[in-house]
Amino acid sequence: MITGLAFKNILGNGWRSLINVVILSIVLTGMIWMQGIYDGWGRLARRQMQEWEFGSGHFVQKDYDKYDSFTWDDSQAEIPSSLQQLIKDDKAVPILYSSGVLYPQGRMTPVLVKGIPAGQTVLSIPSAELKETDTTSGFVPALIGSQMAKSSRLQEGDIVTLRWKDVNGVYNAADLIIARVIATPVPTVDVSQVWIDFDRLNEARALENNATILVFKNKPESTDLGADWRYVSTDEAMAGTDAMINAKRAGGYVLFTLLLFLSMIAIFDTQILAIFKRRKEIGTLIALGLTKQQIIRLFTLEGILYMIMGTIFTGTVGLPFFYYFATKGYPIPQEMTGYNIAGMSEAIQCYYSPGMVTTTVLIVLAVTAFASWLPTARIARMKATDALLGKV
Amino acid sequence: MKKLNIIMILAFALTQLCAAFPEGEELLRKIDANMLSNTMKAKTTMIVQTRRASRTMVSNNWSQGTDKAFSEYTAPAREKGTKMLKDGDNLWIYDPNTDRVIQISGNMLKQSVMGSDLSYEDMMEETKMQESYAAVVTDETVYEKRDCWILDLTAKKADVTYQNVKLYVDKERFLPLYQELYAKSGKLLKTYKVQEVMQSGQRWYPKKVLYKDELKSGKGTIFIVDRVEFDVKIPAHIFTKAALRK
Amino acid sequence: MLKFILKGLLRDRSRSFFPILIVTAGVMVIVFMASYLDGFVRSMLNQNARFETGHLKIVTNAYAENISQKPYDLGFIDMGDEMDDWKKDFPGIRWTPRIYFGALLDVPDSIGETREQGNVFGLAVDLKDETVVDDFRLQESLVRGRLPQKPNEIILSETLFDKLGLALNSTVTLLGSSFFGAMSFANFSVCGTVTFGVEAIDRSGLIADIEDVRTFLDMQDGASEYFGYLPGGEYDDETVQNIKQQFNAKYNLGDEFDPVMLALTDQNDLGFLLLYMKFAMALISFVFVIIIGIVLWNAGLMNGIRRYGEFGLRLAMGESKGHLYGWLLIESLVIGIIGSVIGAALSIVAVLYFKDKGFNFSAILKDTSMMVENVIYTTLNWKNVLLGMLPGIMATILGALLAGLGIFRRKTSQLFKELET
Repeated sequence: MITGLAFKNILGNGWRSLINVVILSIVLTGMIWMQGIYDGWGRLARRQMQEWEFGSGHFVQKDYDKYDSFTWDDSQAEIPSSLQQLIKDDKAVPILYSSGVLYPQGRMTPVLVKGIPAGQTVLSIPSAELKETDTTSGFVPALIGSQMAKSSRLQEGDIVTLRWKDVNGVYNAADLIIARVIATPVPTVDVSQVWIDFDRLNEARALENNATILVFKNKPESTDLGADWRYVSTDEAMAGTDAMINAKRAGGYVLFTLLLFLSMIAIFDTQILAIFKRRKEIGTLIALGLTKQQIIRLFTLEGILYMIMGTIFTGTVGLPFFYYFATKGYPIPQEMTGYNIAGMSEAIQCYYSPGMVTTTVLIVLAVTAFASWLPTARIARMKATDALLGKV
Repeated sequence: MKKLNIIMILAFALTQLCAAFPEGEELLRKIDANMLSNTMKAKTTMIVQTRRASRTMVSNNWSQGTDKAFSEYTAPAREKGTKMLKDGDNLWIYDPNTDRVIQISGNMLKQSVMGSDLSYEDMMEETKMQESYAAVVTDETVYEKRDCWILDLTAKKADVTYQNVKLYVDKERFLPLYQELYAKSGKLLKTYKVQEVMQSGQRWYPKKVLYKDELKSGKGTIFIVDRVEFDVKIPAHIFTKAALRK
Repeated sequence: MLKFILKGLLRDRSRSFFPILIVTAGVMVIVFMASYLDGFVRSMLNQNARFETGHLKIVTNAYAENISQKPYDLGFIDMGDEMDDWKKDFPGIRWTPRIYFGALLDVPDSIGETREQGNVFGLAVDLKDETVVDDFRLQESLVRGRLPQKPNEIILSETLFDKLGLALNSTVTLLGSSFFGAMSFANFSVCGTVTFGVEAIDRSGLIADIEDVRTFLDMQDGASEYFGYLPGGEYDDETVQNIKQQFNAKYNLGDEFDPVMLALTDQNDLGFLLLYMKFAMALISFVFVIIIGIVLWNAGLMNGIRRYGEFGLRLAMGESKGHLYGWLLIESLVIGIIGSVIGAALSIVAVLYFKDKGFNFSAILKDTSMMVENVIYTTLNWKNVLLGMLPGIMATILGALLAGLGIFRRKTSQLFKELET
């Protein structure tokens, strides 16, 4: 009965109710959208790093340490025979790392050389460009990222000398031709790196079928590939990026609090005036036998109903807005791709997880309920007779 | 009959032609005999030309065979007293200001010595050419007014740092006057040009050499041998770590 | 009339208390939010300015070409006279030198031979300058030990310290390459450790006093980079661009080792980021102001509507509609002003509090490190206060304006009847 009454009262308020519903809806939309951006960013970064760097899981040679360049030349091992079929089926890709020195414009620039099979499609690196189509020129096709191109002042078509040492300590050098400058959103496949063909690098280093990293298209069935290899899960690989995104998210929480406070003000204001305006009605209800608790519940319920209607409003009128940002995404301008974080080159598609949406709705609901309950304290103090007479 | 004569004359001419180029191996042996000795004592000056300035470093050097070498820097003041000891594949450096002996190994050996175009590895590479390379004389030329043989060297072992070397050797003195050091792919990496020579007893030795990294833009590094003595008696304790601290 | 209005407001709480409360709350939210957003952008700028870019940075042309590699051998040396000139030309700028370098760190055993080695990435700053120590939050990021106080003391990253098996006050030797390419050795004592907060640097980071490193690298009176900060500590792009223009015109004559000045916005694409963030913040502020405006307008409206009965009575008593309407507007103006002033005052208190203490997200992130700033400080800006007060006043009046129209539309008797409800 009380619910029906509450509902009738809201409808009776007409456009004033609508304003409250719209305000609550805006608050809810804002909160969901902001979280959607952060969640979307996290997912985008993860997807990009999986596409460009470590697939659904990868193994690294046990001696490899990504921060210690002195380990790179010694951290390779022969590809386990059990993986040969997977590699053939393009479900896994081996990558060999080697330290080298690039000489753009006659300056010595230490780089990490990565050898990847030209035919692979597991990672998004356009390795097809590494196929040597012209064996007479003597130039080895190479790929570099846009940041590398910028810092070394190289462009597509440029010839640059690369020098390295093979496993026997013998110097070798080759002239590379920059086949393509890759626009990759993942800086860890770009900065200070040069990509050439896998077989070429093996040959150059007097190795055969050796790799430093084995990347899998799908999560590998077993995390044990022998003593030479260590498994790294996607979560482990993403740890740094995830932490950074979470740090940024924390800054948004203050805005959330302010938004919630806003919604509180709106409801509180409405209810205060409603109670004042309807004091005669309250007196009547009390005289008719309703307890004060029931009346308090009535008003609190009205506030909650505003919120529910706001949620419905958000879900319907707001749907195109959410849909647009979930599909088209929040565009990141070109200039910002220079930042060393993944997930900042494509438009970020908002991700609204059911858990996140539910939690947000519940939080706003709780705050709204509280804000509508607060002014009802007066009702508890009302004398029915005074209320009837309008003397409150 | 006439045909036979012509053939015989041509064959004879051919043998004479081939006899004109000496055996590569033999030449290498003579080069090693001239350049290497059981022991050596020298005073050298190294001039490093970097983008900012030119630096001159003077050192006294002792070596025994190709395995042991000891150097002490005497100038400039900042370097004075710095010592280096090479023993086989190990390299140690002593600095008097910090009183520390530091071992240089692994990838540190790739670093350049004193900012020069040589790395520690390059410096440590002292082997008998005969052991490391197979040689063929391919031509002759005049270099710096000296008649020279042109030798093409190919590494015999997989771990020789420069797999291919081109040498201009003084025909008379068996002294390499010019070297081109190549990568396995055939790319020219470093050059070594003798600008002055000197005689010490029966030997001819490079007095002034320009050593240059051909991939880098820059002026290269100059080595000057101020004084050299061969096969002198060098006490064994010089090639020990204890000698670094003395 | 005003006195009467005020008396009326003071006596009738329902007329004054709640409306003022609502306006206060609304104004508070806007002013605080705008200050927070400003603080957010400032935080980002400050972090960059402190660690990477300064407000302005002076390097050589040769260094600038290879700036990502930070080649100190292409930096400055013997800058005594030049610095004096710069200080004279641009008084008020706080200059501080910095050297980035790489070296081999060698840990001796008991007989002075190599026990452990590791590569280090070094940062040399003027540790005698307290502002620099504050800039780097060195004191807060200390994990153990203390900051360097004596010559030849250094701080290492905690991770590296641990990996090398060191103890506080251990002596280590740095082997590097001097400015002129010569071998350089120096002994240092490790007096403390810090957490940098960036994994790559935490693996091999080292901080030393710039004088010690100048001796080590033979860089007399030199630096890789000179950072400059505007007086007052706030970044102002226009001022910096002016200074940059003047400086480069006078001192950068084209030689590869001539100094060139870079502004903060010239580095790391910060110029664009700043613009983008300002735009985003303006948008957020706009949305907030709209919402608050609606809320306050609604409140003003409600306030007017529920007093129709009172209006009816007054009209019946002979007051003209115009006079009543004017009265209502003035009353709402007074409410608006009082509410806005109180709201602004309260939010200023809050802003000043967080200006000092800041929003510390470290607790959420469980991370106190040097380079990852988890604290956002609000800024007090009178523009923001006005931004909040304006809707506070305007929206309330607008609400009353609309409510008052009912006075003209309804008949007196109708209004009078509402008195009974």
